[in-house]
Order: sequence, then C-alpha cells, then structure tokens
Amino acid sequence: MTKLFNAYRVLALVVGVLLLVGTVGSLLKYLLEDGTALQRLGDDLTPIWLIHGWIYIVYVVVAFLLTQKARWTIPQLLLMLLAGLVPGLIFWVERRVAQRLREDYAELTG
Amino acid sequence: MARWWSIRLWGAHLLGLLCVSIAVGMGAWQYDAWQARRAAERVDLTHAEPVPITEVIGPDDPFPTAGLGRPVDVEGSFLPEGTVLVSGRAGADGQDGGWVVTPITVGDADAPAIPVVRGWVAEGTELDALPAPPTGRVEVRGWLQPTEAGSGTDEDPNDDVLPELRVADLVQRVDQDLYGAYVVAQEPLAADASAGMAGATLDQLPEASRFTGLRNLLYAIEWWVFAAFAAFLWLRYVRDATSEPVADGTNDGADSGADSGADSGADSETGGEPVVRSEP
Repeated sequence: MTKLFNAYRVLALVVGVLLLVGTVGSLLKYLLEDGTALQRLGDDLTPIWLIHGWIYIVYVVVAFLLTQKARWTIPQLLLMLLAGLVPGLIFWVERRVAQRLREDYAELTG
Repeated sequence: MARWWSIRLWGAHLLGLLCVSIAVGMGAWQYDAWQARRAAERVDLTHAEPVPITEVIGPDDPFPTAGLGRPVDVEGSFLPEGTVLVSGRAGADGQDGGWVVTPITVGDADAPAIPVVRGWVAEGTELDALPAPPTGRVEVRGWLQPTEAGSGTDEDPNDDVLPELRVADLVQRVDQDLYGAYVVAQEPLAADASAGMAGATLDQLPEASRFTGLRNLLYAIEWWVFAAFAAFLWLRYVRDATSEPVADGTNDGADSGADSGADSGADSETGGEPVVRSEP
C-alpha cells in the first residue's frame, strides 16, 4: 500500500501541475488577442491536454486501486477523481488522502 | 437488502448513466472529427472546377471540410503592406526556400482579406528584392488551405520571415480582418514570374500538420477508456450495494446491504471484501 500511495502522490502532483499549466494555456489562448506572444504560447500549450488525459487515466487506475485497498467509499474515490479535473483541487485532496491514510493505517505510513 | 432498482440507488444510476454517456459522446465527437479529417485528406479536390471563394468560405467561418485544396477564384486588391516570407518550403528539387505571401481583399479594398501564396523563392532571397504586389483589382486562382497550426517558433518576431503560415500571426501586420485560411496561387503573377519567382505547389507543405488528425483519435480513445471505467465503477457500486452482506460476524443482518459497499475504511478493518494481498 505504501508503494501505491507513493505512486498516487507522484501522479497527483503531475496531474495537478499539467492541469494548471493547461488551464493557464487555454485562458491565454482564448482570452487574449490572436497573434500576441502570450496568446501563441497558450496555443502552443494545447498538446498538454493530450498528455494530461493519458496520465489522468493512470491516475484514475491508481486512485481506484488505492481506495480498494484502503476500503474507502466510492464517494471518496469520486472526490479523488474529480480532483484531477478541477484546477488546484488535487493539491488539497492529496493532503487529505495522506492524512486519512495515516489515521486509518497508522502502521503503514512512516 | 437493496435491489438494483431501489430508490436509494437511483442517484448512482443517474450519475453512472450521465458519466458514461458524456464520455461516449465526447469520444464519438472526437472520432468523427478524426474521420472527417481523414476523409478530407483522402478526397483530392485539387482538380475540381474552380469556384468563387465566397461560395466556399466566409471571413469568419471555420475551415470547411470540403474546402481542402479546392481551387478557388479570388477577385480583389492586394494589401500594400503585410507581405511576408514563410520559410521551410522545399522547392521542386528539394532546394531550401520559402513562400512569398501577401493578403488580398475579397471584393472591395476594405473588405476582409485572405493571404495568398504568390510563389516560391530560393533561400536567401530578400523581400525587398521582389516586386511589390500589383495595385488595383486583380484576379487570382489558387488552392484553398486551412491556416497552419504547427508549433514552429519564430526566432525573430520583428522581421518579415515566419516559420509557418499562421493567420493569427498575419493579423498583426495588416489593418484588415483576415480569413482563417489561405490560397496557394496556381500561377505566379506575371511581374513575379519575370522576377524569378517560381509557382508554389501544395507538396511544398510541411508534413507536420498530420499530428492534429491523430490527436483527435487519441482524444477519442481517451474518452472511451473513461467511459469504460465509469461503467465499471457504476456496475461495481451497484453490485456491492445489492449483494448480501458478507457473514463475518462484524456485519449485522439488519444493516442495509446498500452500506456494505460503502463501509468507511475506518470501521471495517476485518470486512469481508476481497482484498488484493501485496506487500505488508
């Protein structure tokens, strides 16, 4: 479970960062005037979404396995999955997951 | 014990159905986009009968799928400013070179304009050495192309050389509104030809744009993986909620079965759910 939890933490960090970068990129792309340097930067960042999507799939699987193992409820899993789609939320959720895991399985997390 | 049609599970059914159908729909949408792009690439319209450009695309329209490579006629006047060189276009014998591009208005002198590839010049040719675009009303026949959207970076944004023909970059240089497309002239203008400009052809286009099509397919697969996962979670939740509580002493029979799948981790240390064993 420690391995799974570590995988979850790394994935949460990666998904969270990609999500933030992607969101900022898309905001730049659609809100700024076409052709400005920042708008082009935003346009160039769109492939981030493709990468985010595929890593998110791995995140979903790992989150599922983790909740299975910790015998958490499906609402808890849904919160963890949702966190990969709402910018910024994942950092808070990741901390909560860590905290809950420590409470439930004190012997596991050193 | 709850049956799968129990009212308490309707919320789960609704959520499951919603998630699965959204994901399937989004996947289908991306898949259609991929198919449409492939179909457009397969159909060779370059030898079709030329039509006036206004019949194919308007100034604010997205690029029509039936427009790729289609010969169109544009009648209007070249903009005196806004001529650029698009680099990275290999010539007939593989020689390095670029496209000379000037926007032309579609109709009146103040109407929205569409960039026209006037011709091909060898690497190292200066724009100043080429003739200015003709003034007055001109008619140009050429192949319609969507604006390029690769990821080439412009090393020097202040000069008149661009790595690709991106309309968003050209908008900065002219006062006119621009179409989201461009036209590759079939024949260079007489003055350009005598100045040594060669005709541009479609096979001088870089191959990089193929990735955009593939991207749609990858998105489609992504969505369908999510759809499958959502369906899996939904079924699993319903199965857990409707199955008999496992008789292991900790669950009392009076407890509703709906809770067996929703045990919080804290109180079911010895719960009967199958758990994959692994490292301690």
